[in-house]
Amino acid sequence: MKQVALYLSIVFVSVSCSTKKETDAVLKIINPLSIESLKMEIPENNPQSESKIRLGARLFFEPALSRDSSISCGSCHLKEYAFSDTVALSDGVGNKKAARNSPTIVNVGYQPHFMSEGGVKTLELQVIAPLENEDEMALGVIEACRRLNQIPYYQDFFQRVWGDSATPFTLTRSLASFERSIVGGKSPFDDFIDGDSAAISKNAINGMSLFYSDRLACNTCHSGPLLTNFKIENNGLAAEYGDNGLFRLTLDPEDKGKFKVPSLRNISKTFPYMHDGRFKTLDEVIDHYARGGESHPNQHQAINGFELTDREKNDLIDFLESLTDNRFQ
Amino acid sequence: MNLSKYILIVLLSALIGCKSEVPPFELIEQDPKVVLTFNLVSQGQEIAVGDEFVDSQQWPLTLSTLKMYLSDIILLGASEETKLADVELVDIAGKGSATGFNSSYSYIIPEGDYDQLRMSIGLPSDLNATDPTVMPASDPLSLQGAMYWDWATMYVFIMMEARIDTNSDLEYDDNIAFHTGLDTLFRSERSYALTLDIPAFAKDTLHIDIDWDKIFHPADGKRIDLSTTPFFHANVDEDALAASRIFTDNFVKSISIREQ
Repeated sequence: MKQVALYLSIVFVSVSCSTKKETDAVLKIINPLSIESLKMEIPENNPQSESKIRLGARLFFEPALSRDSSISCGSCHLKEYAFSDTVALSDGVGNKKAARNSPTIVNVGYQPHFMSEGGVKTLELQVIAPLENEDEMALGVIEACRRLNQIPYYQDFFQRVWGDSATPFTLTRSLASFERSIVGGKSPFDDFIDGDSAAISKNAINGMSLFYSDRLACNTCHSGPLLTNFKIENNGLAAEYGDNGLFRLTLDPEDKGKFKVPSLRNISKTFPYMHDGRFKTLDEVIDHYARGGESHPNQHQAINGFELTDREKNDLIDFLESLTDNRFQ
Repeated sequence: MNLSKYILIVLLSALIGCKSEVPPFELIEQDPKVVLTFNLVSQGQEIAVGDEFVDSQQWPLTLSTLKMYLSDIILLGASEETKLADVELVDIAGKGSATGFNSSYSYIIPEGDYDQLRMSIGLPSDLNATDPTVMPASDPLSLQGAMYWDWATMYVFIMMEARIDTNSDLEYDDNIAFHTGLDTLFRSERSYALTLDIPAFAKDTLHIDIDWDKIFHPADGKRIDLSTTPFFHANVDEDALAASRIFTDNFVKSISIREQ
């Protein structure tokens, strides 16, 4: 019934805005887009529990986990911006800057790999990275545990949750549990695919048709419920990269300039964009893809340029804005 | 018996009396023991962390860090093959190092003649994929060793850091940092000749020297110019990777063994 309503609403609203071919293509794709169709993989040695999530949340906002106690995980992952930051490169301890743009961690539990080059296999291990990184929190997991174990509040909290003190194991599992609990799938777009034909505007529907069209082919990489295929690709940002992305891991020249395809959910909140935060607005991002990239040898073949009218561009942005879960405010 | 003989007898008796207060024997393990002691050397001199030294190319240097993973450490004889360890983290800072790991490790081995030490420099891919957060702090693969590449979920195989005076201003104002890792820089089953004849109850020490000058200025291999390439990680770009390959291969060849 839902699907029929959805079909009718889309056909009714969008038939005048896009060709029938484009609408049919969207309908093929749109049904499995609900985030509820995703299954989150939970490690056997770290089942979710409410108390663990609470401990993880407390740790997430704990500045004692940075060398000079000036920043916490939450300093660069701001709730009101879908747990991302608003600057290209976030501030680390001692006036240092992180090497890459702080990504959103909404729905991070669904990701199969972490960090921009996808080199980290579990969320538990990802937690280590900012703690150890000299340009970020610069404390280290061992020292973080030592500090936490000197604070009576945490001594008690860890004992209650784990029956143990803060250790590399209990610290990383607690933070990972909290991050897995940050799920966002209640956007106007979700309401729309759930059958509420008025949830997004006519312009946004037109933008959606463009997004999934052969002409733009955004869904070549931004597919599925999270609007990412999770692959590591070169999107033609530069003719030569300072940060070589996946190459750092594989040492294969064909992997130069490849970074993880990000989810587009909450994209209106997660500016600035790209691994280095070089684009401040969605307008600039669309311009980059319309130009066809900077012709890097490893550039993905789908990035070959397109033309858009101003109205089409605005419609596309309206669609992208409809992916915002407004609970993150 | 004259007086001098009498005095001698009294003194000897006193000495024997004193000796009797010492425990009658030391607890000695039945099997022989071999100690592997790792040293960084330059021009025949051992270099400790913090030491200032001048290498064979006259570069004034001071050593900050030298840590390395060794795996599948095996002593080989004509008929014996004795595994000493699956993996060790060697920290040249030695006993009391910040990591808690050491530059010297001892092993119980069967008595016999040994003529080779075989070991891999770095970690094989299965060990390189270990989750360090599940390892106890005393394990070389725990985070305690500060050798984990968190962004790659792999380990650094060799971490060598020093400071260098490149402009003769008597200040060590430039860094040299080689952090080599990833499976491609793993060097498996390298053999080093030795002569070790170890009977029961004995303890012998093998000094494993890593020669700075053979790493950076080998007579028979590719050199690393410390004046133009003072700072490297393993894989920032192709130049750094190339230098890391040279560093790793030279490092392997720089190792020699001497018996105490």
